[in-house]
Amino acid sequence: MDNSTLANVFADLRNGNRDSFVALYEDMGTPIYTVAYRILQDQQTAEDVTQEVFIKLFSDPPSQKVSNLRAWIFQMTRNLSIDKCRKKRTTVDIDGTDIASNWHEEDLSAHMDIEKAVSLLPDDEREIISLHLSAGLGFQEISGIIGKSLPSTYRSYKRALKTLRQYLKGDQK
Amino acid sequence: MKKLIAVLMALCILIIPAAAVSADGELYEIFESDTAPVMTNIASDHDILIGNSSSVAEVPTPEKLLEIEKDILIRQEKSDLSDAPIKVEIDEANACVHIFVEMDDTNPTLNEAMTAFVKEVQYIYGEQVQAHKNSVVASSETLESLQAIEKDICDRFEKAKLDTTIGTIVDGVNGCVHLYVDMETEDEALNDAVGALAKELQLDHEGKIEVHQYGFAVVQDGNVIEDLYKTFLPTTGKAAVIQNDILGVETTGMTLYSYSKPSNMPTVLISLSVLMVIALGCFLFFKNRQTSQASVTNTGHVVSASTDLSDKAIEDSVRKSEIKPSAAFDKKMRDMIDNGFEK
Repeated sequence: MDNSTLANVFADLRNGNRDSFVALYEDMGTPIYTVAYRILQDQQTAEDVTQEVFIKLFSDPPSQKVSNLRAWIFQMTRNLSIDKCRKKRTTVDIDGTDIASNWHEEDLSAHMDIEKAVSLLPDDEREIISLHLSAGLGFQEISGIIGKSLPSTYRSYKRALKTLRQYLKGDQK
Repeated sequence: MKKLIAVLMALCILIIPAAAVSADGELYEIFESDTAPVMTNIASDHDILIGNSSSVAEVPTPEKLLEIEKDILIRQEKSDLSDAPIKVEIDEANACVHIFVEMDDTNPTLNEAMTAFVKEVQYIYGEQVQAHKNSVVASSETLESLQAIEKDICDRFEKAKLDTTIGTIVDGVNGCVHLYVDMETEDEALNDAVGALAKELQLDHEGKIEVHQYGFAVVQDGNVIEDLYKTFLPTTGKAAVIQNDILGVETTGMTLYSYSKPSNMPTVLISLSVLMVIALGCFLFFKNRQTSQASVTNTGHVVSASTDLSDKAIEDSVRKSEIKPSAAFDKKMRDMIDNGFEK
């Protein structure tokens, strides 16, 4: 769903017509959940975030001044996910170490699928990979969301691909 | 028997590390195979182009180029620009169509119309059409010699084993090869080495190479909105038309080659893995021959050398591997939307 379609959805919503909101959920529900899940690495919390995003979009649609609605929505998803992360940090270490060690407890020689490989990436690289490949955002949009320079964002992305390749190669061996 | 096993294990531990060190060259060679130039197609990133990465996967055929030329001429006719100083030329070597436009300083209206026309054509055909302002085709340079220079660039970067990505453009129009190098990595030594090699190449080929430091050109709706390209070495050759003066949009196709330097860590890890596998193999072999054979069979089953691990393949896999929320959550969300999120 591109920005102009999104603008129409929110215009409809402001006018009391919520039919197109279903289409919004159908189109963006999974990418939003995917981004939240990849940040949180937890199904339940990712669902909570997804629900929260849609409630906010429904009850308080973004202002017409927001030019890039798609990026705005994913920025909100990221912010809510990070908030949840911070709350969870007291009980669960989400910096990737635990996830990695948990994974190592499983049979590493078995099938490490792409999703598991993504889960082993550092937080920032996992975020960039998700925002680009799952949310479909451009690198400039992502750099705005995560507060990094464009070259740095792109370099992190390339580094993440390289790391994924190494993980997957390791899996093959 | 137990003594024999113990002796063999001890031999493994003492001798094999030495062998691994001496075999380092061989292991290194395994990695070296990864250093072969890899063409990276990043054209799938619609809003970002490094240099001006062309869609490598969709090289237009000569027939397609003819179609494009014909269509451009028809559009020119329809735009009342049939008498305008616009020249269309097919460039099969570079798989594109050039449009040369002679701007007239005394006629801004005509300039505007020609610019709009070129913009429209570029919007339709993207990088398959390359626009030039007040340019003349430098046809004297043979493409073969430029391609030989490009090959030399690739060979020498491969030989240097630098962990970097370069971009090259064989520019038949200007009779030079554009070399884009990345000198903005966090590794200063690498930056210096890449710069030194680029300069060396430039000197060796007597100005036939234009060196540019590449950054990131962000393109939105066909316009460059952030262009971080900059030349970092003084050019000694012909002036390079990298940027399209008419539109400010780069249209020259670039080929990217990635090189990687084998790091010591994987070598050490592989050495250790090899050691452990051999030691385990020895142990199992002497303990139970049948078990040993079964293990070997299982190990052989795991290895699969045919999996595509290119950037594009990984990107496609991640894209496809979107995670879906549970069916119960999906139903709950739909119910909530239907009820207007009222509790």
